[in-house]
Amino acid sequence: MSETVQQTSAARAHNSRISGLEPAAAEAAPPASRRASGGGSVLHRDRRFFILLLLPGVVVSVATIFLPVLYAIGLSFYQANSFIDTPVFVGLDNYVRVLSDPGYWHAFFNGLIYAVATVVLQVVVGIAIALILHQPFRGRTIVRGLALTPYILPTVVAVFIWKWLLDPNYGLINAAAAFFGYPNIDWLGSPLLAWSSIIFVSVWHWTPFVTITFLAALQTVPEELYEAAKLDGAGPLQQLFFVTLPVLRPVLLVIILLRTIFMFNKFDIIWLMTSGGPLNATEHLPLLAYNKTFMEFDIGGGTAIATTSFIFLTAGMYVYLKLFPLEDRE
Amino acid sequence: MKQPKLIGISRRSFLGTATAGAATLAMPGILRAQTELRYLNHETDPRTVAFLRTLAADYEKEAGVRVRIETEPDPWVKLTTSIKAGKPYDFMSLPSITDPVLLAKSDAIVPVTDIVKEQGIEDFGPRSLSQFKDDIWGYPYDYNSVCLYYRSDWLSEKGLRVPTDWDSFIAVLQTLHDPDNRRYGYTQTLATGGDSSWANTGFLWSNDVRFYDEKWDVILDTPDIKKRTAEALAFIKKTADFSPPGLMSAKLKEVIANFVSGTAAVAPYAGRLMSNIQDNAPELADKFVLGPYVRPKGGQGVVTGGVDVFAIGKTDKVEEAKKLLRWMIKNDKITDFQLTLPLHYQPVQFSSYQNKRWSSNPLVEKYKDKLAVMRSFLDEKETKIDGIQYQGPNYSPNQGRLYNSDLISSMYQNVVAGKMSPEEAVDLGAAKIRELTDKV
Repeated sequence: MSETVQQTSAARAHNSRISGLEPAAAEAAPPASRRASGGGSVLHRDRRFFILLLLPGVVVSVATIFLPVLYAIGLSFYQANSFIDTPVFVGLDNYVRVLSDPGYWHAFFNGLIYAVATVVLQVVVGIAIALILHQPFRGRTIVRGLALTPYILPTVVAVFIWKWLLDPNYGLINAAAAFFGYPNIDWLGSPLLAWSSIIFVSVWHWTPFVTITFLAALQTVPEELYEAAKLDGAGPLQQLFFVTLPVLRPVLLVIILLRTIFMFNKFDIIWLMTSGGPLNATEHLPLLAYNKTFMEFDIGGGTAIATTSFIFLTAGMYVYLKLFPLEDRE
Repeated sequence: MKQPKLIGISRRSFLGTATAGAATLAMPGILRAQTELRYLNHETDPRTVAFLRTLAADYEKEAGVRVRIETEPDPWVKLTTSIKAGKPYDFMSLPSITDPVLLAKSDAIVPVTDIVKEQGIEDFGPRSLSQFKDDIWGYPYDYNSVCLYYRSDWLSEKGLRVPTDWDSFIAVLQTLHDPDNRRYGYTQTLATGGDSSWANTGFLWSNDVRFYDEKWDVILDTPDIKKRTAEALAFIKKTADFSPPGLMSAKLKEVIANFVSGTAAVAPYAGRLMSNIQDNAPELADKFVLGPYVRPKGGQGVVTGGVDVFAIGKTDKVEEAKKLLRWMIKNDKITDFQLTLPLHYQPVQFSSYQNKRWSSNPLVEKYKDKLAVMRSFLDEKETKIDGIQYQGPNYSPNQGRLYNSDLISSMYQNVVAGKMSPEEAVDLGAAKIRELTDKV
């Protein structure tokens, strides 16, 4: 019991340090109010400097993100065949239409399953690889570099490499399987195999991101925590679950949050591999929004799908951060 | 007389320097004053792109007008967003006969009726002109007719002839299908998306399937058409038994790879496949023949059209852009353009086939038997040209929506995978068409 308390408090103290909230430093620094009363102009100057630093980022974000998002949300209330068509205001009709379409919910759950499956696998495999690469061994630097290769490749290149490897007629994988007497497999030909292939390629491509982030965080875990745990008789697994993971909890939470957002919105891998087929089995919301907007000339329907996806994702992030706050609640 | 000096510089030097400086400052304005046409091109083959660069240089030399070419394989989004952004293109090539009509409805292009009429409307092959509101909105240059390619050497080996109806077609596939030796009867596209909508609908049209009546009412599930469509779907399911693995995800590139590599005996495609054979397997040049899609009981053949056109944007340079198109026609540059890939680009004008420069091209001569078959597709008595873009009473966004949607692929995939009967798939298709049809 006391061991657990000790470990938890050690881990919490460390968390505070890596979050930039080192207790000693926090105590030493004068509170903002004191500084303000001691010299209002300094605070004023700091604020102006702060705004000045923030301004370029805000301007760029507003111009390239917020305005286009607002424009897209605006389009979702209109009916139009193309961006050059004269739009007709239809209120919430597009939302009613897309939300009452079973295809929408099919795509929604497809996206959810894809995001959950790929994030879980990326995190588990990524952490496992990071732990291996954290161990000292000969050639570690080279192996660390090589482990990043899939992440460095542009997505389109990574997908086409795998599409050729998985090709049922000319692919290396089926050729190897045939050599051992296995039958030809159409890796993208059935819903289950298509999903498995997409998830595999997504995990292969993005796991190095988790690995490198986690590996970098591992460098910050003080060695004395492991030494103390060893002295208390903790084995490698106990060290992982009671020292490493609690200490790196904030990093892990951010990794999961970022990867979930990325994977839920991931368009290119699925588009390049199956375009949503076969039998629409791999169609998810980003693909559905694209198809509606650009393939079926339904600008309002497509932007309504994109807007609802944005709302769901924002709500999901809010719930996630409520359940797993990045900073410890004392 | 001695020149007075201004701050130690002679007046002449001062004036000379000032003039040079002013000219330098004015240079961007002078350059801007030169007319520039923006040309959005969707043909991506390096030979065509290189030709267009030469064409631009020649035109600039001759007419003093700069032509800036941008290449984008799928130009629709770039085109519409450029118009929305206030930077429309002056000249463009478009991959569908319906695209110019959509742009015309939005007042984004101008008609080319006068230019087509100068050539004579009767010189253009059937169903090649984008007509809307008594005007023609695109100048066609490539038919892109999807027909059937047969390995003639394999047919001869088995004592077979090019099939003439559905039964003999299946018999040919059955005889040539030898999966143990990695030789398959028929490669086709079944993947989700436009490839299947264009390159694998011939058997629907060969059984006279129609989507709409003259009032845009969907007739796919009316008794007669439903029966015809279900028959065509059942026939496609039969052909699927002779296809190489990977059918559900097969796109056009798989069709090319399967035929060119000798994996499949029969393939549907347009001239691009012939061009690919010449580039990658020239030894097959005399080992294949072409034919239209066959009807259930024989008779007039059918091909699926996919006309490519040039169009003129409604910008402040309409007249300059029209001049460029006229210059291309007058100087036979459209023939030169087609000759960059003579086996790929299927001329739309009857006169092109009489053009000496075209017919004396070494590749045209080498493949003249095949190109003569393609030329015969322009004869309406022999062949019907059909396709999704020809469904309905007139060109509209509806055809574009159906073409890009998963309508065709989902009907085919459900039947081939055994998830639905052909009749159920027709009902699914009809519902999809209704969902995507805008009667307004």
